[in-house]
Amino acid sequence: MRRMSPALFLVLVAFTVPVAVELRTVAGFFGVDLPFVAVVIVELLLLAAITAVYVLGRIYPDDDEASTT
Amino acid sequence: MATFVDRFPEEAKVVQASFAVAFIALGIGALFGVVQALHRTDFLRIIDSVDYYTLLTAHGVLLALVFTIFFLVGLFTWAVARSFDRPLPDIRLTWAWFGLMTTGATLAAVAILAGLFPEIPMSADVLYTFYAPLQAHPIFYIGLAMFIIGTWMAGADWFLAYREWRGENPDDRIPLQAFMVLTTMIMWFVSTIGVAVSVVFFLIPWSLGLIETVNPLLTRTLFWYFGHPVVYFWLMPAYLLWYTVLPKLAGGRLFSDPLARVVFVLFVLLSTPVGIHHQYLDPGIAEGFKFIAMTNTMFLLLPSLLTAFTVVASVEHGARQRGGEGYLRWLGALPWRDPAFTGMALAGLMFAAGGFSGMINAGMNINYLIHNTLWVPGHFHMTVGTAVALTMMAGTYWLLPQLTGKTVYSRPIGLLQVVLWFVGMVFMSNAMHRGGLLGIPRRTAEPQYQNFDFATAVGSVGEIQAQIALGGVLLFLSVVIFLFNVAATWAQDRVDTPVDDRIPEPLSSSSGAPLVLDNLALWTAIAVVLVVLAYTLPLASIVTDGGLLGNSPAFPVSISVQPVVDAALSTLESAAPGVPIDVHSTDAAVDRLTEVIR
Repeated sequence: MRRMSPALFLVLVAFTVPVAVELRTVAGFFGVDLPFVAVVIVELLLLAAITAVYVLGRIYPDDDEASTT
Repeated sequence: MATFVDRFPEEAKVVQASFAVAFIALGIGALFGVVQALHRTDFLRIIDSVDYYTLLTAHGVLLALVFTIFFLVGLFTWAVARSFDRPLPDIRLTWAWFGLMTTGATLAAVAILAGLFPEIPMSADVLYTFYAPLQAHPIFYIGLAMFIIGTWMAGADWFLAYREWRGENPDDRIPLQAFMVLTTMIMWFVSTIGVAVSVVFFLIPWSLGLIETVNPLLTRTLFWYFGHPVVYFWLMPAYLLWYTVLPKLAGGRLFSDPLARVVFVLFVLLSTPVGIHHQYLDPGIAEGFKFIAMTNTMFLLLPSLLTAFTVVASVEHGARQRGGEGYLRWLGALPWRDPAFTGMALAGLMFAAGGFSGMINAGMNINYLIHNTLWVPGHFHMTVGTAVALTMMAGTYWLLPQLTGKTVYSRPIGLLQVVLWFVGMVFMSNAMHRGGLLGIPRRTAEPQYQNFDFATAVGSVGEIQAQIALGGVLLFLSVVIFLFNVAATWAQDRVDTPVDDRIPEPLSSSSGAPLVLDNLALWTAIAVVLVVLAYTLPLASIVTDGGLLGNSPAFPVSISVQPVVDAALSTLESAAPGVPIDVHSTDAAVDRLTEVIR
């Protein structure tokens, strides 16, 4: 799996904030009133997904990346 | 390898001094910002609500004028010396404008902060826009005038440098960074005439008591004549860094030098004849003039969109030079660990969002929905508060090593700082925009009302308040980390090569740019003609309607209730002749009313 740098990980974590916050507004456009707890859950899911990609990239790096490190 | 401080040691001192003033203003302004955020959201109140307006004025002036413009003059001094590859003509002139600007800014700040101390007979709680009939102490206006004159002298200094360079290089194209500086200063010279006239001819004599009244609509219109171009005065240093430094940090080169020149020329032409779009709700200006201002404003989207294309194309080129591939996977190849790159990239992204909310402000009809609401500070915290401020902070991580010969104290801390700013601003500006749509007003310490709740479509007012408070705290924390990193960098020892300061040639170089783009006199003349066309009739109309000096005394004005009581007594007597009126009780009522008003 492609290895993600800690800096890119940090930036992606930051990007999850506007996504989670604005998701609620977008849902509101379509008449779906997401409760606050739903925003927290979406944010946690996004963070979990990014963390998983980061950790898996560290454990199972691509062959070419593994050979260069 | 010699860097800027080795080649231009005197200029480097001026730039460092300018940055130092800018960062002191940033620290104080940010402290006042978080105090306001916590106060108006009712999470923590450490000041009286009356003092809120003193802090609000200081926050606006220190951040929007002092921080941004001192950073600008430092950056432009660096850019002029670097791109002409020669020292400034006379360093005494350079120190003179720095001294005048610093003195002016200090006087204005003292006049504002004195408002916190009742024993000092001085205040300037007039907010950043200093609308009459709100009146400040004369020192405030005099300080502002000195500050503006200092920027004019700085511009003259850079034009003198250009004249010297042109004398030795009659056939060369103006180097791109210098071109950006000169066009920005042309715009500034044209646009500051408005505020200079307002301050020197009306507000200073009025505050000194030399004239009794002013015409508030006239001074307001003159303020906005300058007030919108100042937005671009903040933004152009950010553009200079995005066009010339960001592509290099990304690992590539600027996509197109000619396109960058076109953008700056468009800003010279279009920045000033648009100020009336800040006055859509002002009575006394005909709707037709407002419509013209709106149309001009929409044209300003063009250079911003050209910039988005050019900068993103340049960054993508850099990513591909670094091995990035695919439609979007190249984003992963960018140097995200570099705080200078990441900060500028996040600032650019936030600017796109701020641009979209700016289109709402610019539209005459939908502006009515959000005018004077929390939406407006939400918008400008995205634009000047992030696109500009975050770019300046990020740029510092690349510039400071050149100016001091010292490496940045901690790049990881710098990265954390820029990311923290981005997250804090997402929370705060999102909530401000949403709050504005609900009608929550701006510029008030007490946005809570009895027996009234703002109706929300999504979420609750409580969540909006919490978001603003959280965002404000994160932003303040980011500034503290930034100032620590900068101070620690200044305290480092010098090294031989603190940073790679080379800027590569653009992919499409200046040789492909039409020669007419460098004809600064032509663009200045057209800009003046556009300003005359846009402003002559509205100003004539305002003066005809309200007079040159108007009839508005200073606010707050003293009010006597005696005439009201006399009229009431007279009415009662005429309604019930012969019935004795209790004079003592009316005197008591007058005293009580006077006390309440006082």
